[in-house]
Amino acid sequence: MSDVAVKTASGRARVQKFGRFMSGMIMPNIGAFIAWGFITTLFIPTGWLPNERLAGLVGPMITYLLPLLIGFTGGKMVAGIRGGVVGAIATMGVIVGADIPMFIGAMMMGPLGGWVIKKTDKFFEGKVAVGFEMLIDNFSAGILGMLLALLGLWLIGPVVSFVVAILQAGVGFIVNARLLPLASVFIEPGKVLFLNNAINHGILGPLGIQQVQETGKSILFLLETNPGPGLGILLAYWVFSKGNIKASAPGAIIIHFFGGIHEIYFPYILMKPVLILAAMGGGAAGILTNLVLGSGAVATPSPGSIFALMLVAPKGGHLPILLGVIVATAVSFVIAMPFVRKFAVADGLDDKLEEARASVKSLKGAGKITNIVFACDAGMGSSAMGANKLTKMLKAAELDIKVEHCSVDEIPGSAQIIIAHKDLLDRVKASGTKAVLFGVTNLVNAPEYQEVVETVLENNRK
Amino acid sequence: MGFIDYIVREEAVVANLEAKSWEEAILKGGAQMVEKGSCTRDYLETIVRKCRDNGPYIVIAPGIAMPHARPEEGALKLGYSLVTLKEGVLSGERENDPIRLLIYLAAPSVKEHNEQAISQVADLCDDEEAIEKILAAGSQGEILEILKSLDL
Repeated sequence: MSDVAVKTASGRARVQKFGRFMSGMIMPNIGAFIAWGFITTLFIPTGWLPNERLAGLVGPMITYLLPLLIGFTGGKMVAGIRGGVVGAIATMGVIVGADIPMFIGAMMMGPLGGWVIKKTDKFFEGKVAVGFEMLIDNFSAGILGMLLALLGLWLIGPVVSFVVAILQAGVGFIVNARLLPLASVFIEPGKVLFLNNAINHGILGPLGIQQVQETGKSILFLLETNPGPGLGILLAYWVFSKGNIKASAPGAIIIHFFGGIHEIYFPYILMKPVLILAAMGGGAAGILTNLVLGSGAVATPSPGSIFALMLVAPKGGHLPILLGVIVATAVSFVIAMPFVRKFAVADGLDDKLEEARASVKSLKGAGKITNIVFACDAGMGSSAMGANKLTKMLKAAELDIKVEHCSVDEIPGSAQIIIAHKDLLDRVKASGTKAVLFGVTNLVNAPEYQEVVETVLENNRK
Repeated sequence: MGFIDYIVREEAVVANLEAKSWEEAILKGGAQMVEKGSCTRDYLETIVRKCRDNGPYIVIAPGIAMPHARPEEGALKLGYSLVTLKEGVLSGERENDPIRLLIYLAAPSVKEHNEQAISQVADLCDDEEAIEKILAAGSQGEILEILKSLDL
């Protein structure tokens, strides 16, 4: 029975770890999303201060900057800066290969690039003649990056077309079957995947224009452009999450709701993919409301801000549209609430756990220790020496662990124990590592080394 | 090539250097590295500045400092040098002062410090008897003989 409990616990831990990994790729880059959101809100032709020259930033930022940042971050999380570089190269393949912004593609190619270079480095480790390491390093990263970029470029096109076909077929079927609220099941994931245009212009737009000609308005314009589902999710983050995410929510709400730039809430879903349920639920509720009240618009509100929505409302049709937005927001908020709350609690627990881990004792149960890093300022002299000495001591204790050495600025995220000169500990902490830290003054023969060996022995004793 | 081999081949040893402060010791002791083309004068000055800014990060064990900086801070080619001081200097790190032995490192890339060399430096610093003999030696020749006799 305890066996089962252990299994569930580790299964949950794995899900949490995956969730943390996803948000780890997005969170550090939220600032870039916000910057892009503001620029877009302000300067696009339908923005608040239209400016053709400044609006030139919009396309390149969402096509290249944001996916590359995500890809780089994803790769870096797996294999340090080097992993980030290969991850970014790999991401470039899917960016060029697809004609929609590649966020999901970046979230896959980035870590893949990191993983590939990590395995490759491991393969070459110790097999390269002295003096050739730099050459091998640069060429392995370059060649693998190139291959991954080519692979992504070839594969992504068909994948996107396939997904578009499914979404279009789904929406088309639902519209024909008069099950309109269910359209959200396809529309909301489609939005997050940046396939909203394919849906809007491919299916909903033409049908909508036809309806306007017949009846003077169409509900189809309100399916994808309703800012309610996204607003509900952002509000849930604002109210229930903690730390940086909470603080970033109000800005995102302004950009989303008043600016109509829906893309700004996508990363908040990508961080916790289960929230797509909230978007679907909110969307469906909004559509149902609009259906019951007979709302419609005379044209596609663009961008999907509350102002644009009001502008395309037919005479006397403002209130129903507004209600559609409010209901969608409320339902999305309510569905998102428990998830965001649960994550906030889990993340809060994680924070506490991390703090606890700072003391050696809590390393117990953290599992087998395999990653020990010696850090110094340059990553070459002192750390190499300390690492060398410690590796020998571990070997003497029959522990086959190679202590890596690096600069304090390049500590890999996978490090479980970090040793550094005590003057450098603050900089090690600033790197945000969760590893246990040991500060030393005598690099050749520190008494702390014995502590490290004992800690590892204790943890790895099954 | 190992650290000891390099030192012996290049006779990269200075015995009983006189210096009044740790700054002077680093700069004077490193002159040989500059002459051999292993690093620039800036490299040595950077080490001094970084020690002032960040604390004596180069002190690695009681009595021993390993002056080195990043490759891009003025390292020109792989080089090592061993310098003993006639009188110890104070680095400010009480547990390890006074410093009497300087082991200089320079490498044009992080990767180029080979494991063997670093391992030998570590082993040498670990060998108290050898360190004592080196510090007691009166000349470059004596130190080279001691190094040759080591089995590292």
